[in-house]
Amino acid sequence: MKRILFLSVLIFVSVPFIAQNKISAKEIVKKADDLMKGVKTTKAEMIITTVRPKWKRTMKMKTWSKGTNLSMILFTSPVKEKGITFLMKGKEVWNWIPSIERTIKLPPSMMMQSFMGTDFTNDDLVKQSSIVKDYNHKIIGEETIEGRKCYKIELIPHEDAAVVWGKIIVWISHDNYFQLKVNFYDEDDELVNKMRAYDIKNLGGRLLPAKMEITPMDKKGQKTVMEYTSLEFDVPFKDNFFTVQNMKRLK
Amino acid sequence: MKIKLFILFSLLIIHGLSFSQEKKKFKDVINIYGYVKYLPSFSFTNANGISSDHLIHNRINIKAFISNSFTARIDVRNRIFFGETVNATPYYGQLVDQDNGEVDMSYLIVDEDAVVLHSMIDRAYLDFSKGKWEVRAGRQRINWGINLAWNANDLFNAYNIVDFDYQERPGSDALRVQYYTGDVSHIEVAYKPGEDIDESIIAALYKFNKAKYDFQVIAANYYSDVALGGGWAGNIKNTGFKGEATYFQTRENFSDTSGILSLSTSIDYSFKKGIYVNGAFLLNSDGLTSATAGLPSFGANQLTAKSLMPTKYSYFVQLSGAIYPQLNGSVSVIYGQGMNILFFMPALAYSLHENWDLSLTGQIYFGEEQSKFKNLGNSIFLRVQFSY
Repeated sequence: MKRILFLSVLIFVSVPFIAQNKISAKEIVKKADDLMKGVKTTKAEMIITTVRPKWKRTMKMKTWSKGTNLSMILFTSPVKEKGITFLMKGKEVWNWIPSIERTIKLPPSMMMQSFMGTDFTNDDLVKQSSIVKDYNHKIIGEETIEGRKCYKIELIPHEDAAVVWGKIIVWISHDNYFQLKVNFYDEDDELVNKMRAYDIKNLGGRLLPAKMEITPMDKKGQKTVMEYTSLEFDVPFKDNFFTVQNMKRLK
Repeated sequence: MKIKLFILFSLLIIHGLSFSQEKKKFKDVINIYGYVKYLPSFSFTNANGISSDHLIHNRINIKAFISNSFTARIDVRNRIFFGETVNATPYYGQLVDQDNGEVDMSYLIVDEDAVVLHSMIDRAYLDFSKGKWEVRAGRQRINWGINLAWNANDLFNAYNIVDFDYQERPGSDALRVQYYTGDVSHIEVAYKPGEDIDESIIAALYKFNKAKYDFQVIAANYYSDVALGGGWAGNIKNTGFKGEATYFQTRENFSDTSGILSLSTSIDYSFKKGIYVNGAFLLNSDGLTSATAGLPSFGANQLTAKSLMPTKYSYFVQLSGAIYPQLNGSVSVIYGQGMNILFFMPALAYSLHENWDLSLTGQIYFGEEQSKFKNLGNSIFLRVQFSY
């Protein structure tokens, strides 16, 4: 969720008076990251559609996050998964399963797994690495994506950074800092996932792409589309919101 | 007494509902969900005698959000049994119609030679939550287990992985008070009354988080025993590492008898390609170390935290993963050392449609009979499930 939220937060309207010709790659990414940090809390409702050859599945969920260390996910549909909740606190993850009424602490290796059968990994949702701190940035060109002029920036992780990717290339628009396209590469420089963001509209008082689509390169006919149906920024949460107790009560 | 309790409970719910409905919509107040399953099964020890059985299994969960603090819940489990076992077993209905709770909420609606319809209310409680407090009274599941396979800390309704069609487990008629001392820590006291103290459980649990581990300690009067135990859930590097242990000692002759230790520990790991492995070990200090006559029971309902397996040393491995995006496969193996009992449970689960699921589960038992290791029984279960 962190990364997804990050990507979305990255995209909203930002400082309009930046002298664009002077800005460095790191600054572009940092400004976006600062924007994310400027947001104290985020509350979202979304629909995730997993597309497979001859098969399609839709899930609905609600998410809450505060800073970079606390988040919560609640499934609201389909009925079989309804009420399943995840709580992320730093690098620890708990999973509440209402049918057996048990809170399960998930092992870290679970983070590399597909998130509920989608093309996102659990790690995508709880990622603690920083796109600013954990990577070196370089502008490697300018391209137009969906009619918008974009910086093409290469991100190479620091040697000691605990990150999944070997390289990331992002296309960030000159106006609004929309992150319209992201390519994820593994350590062998092979393209693993492509992500694109589109359908820009007003969400939670900000202009944002409502849809994000991730396509794994090695699986033909597969993709996952995530659509925000509602977003709220800086809504206050009560003190004991991100707790094991509250996982069971979320609606 | 029992009837009074039930009436009081019903009145509370009805009162609560009529009170709150004035302000809210029905859907905000009452949540109804559950499933319907059709489960045909085939059992055989050798190809000569195959018996086929059928089960239609319906679950209705009703949750009422009476007010911000009060929630009520009633879950009904309805099952229709028919087939050869029902035909061949006299008093099959009576066998199914068991309720060990304070209030008898088990109803045998149809009890014919060929068909049995049984209804059971396995959850019926009123929950009060305010601030850091939560009080729950009535039939409820108190799940203190940590491991996937064996739960030595699960004093109230021990989980049984073999009984795959009833993951909700029966409830306990109990009063339970929880106080949350932190974000991931709480204190809990639960009382399951019986005729006298030897038939009651009074237990306390303290759960806390330290050094990225969840820990819990428990102390209880467990029927005629004193039970002391604890558990943990954490990881070694990327591998999950969990465990739980409980020591049971009879209250009578407390000083001069030795107790029973039930200890289970497990590790689990998810590989990059989505294959999940869980391995577990169980020690039941009272368990058997050599083969005995007769089929050892992995019993559906006899299992307790004190006796999770009939053998002293038992091992469990489960492998699971997606074969195709909508097809999941798993194999679980249980081995009981000494008695030489082996249990295989391969399963395939297919997602037909959003709310429709199909599964095929096998259960294969091996054991020693007259000093010979041989196949003792096999079952195949097909299951179609519709969730609503």
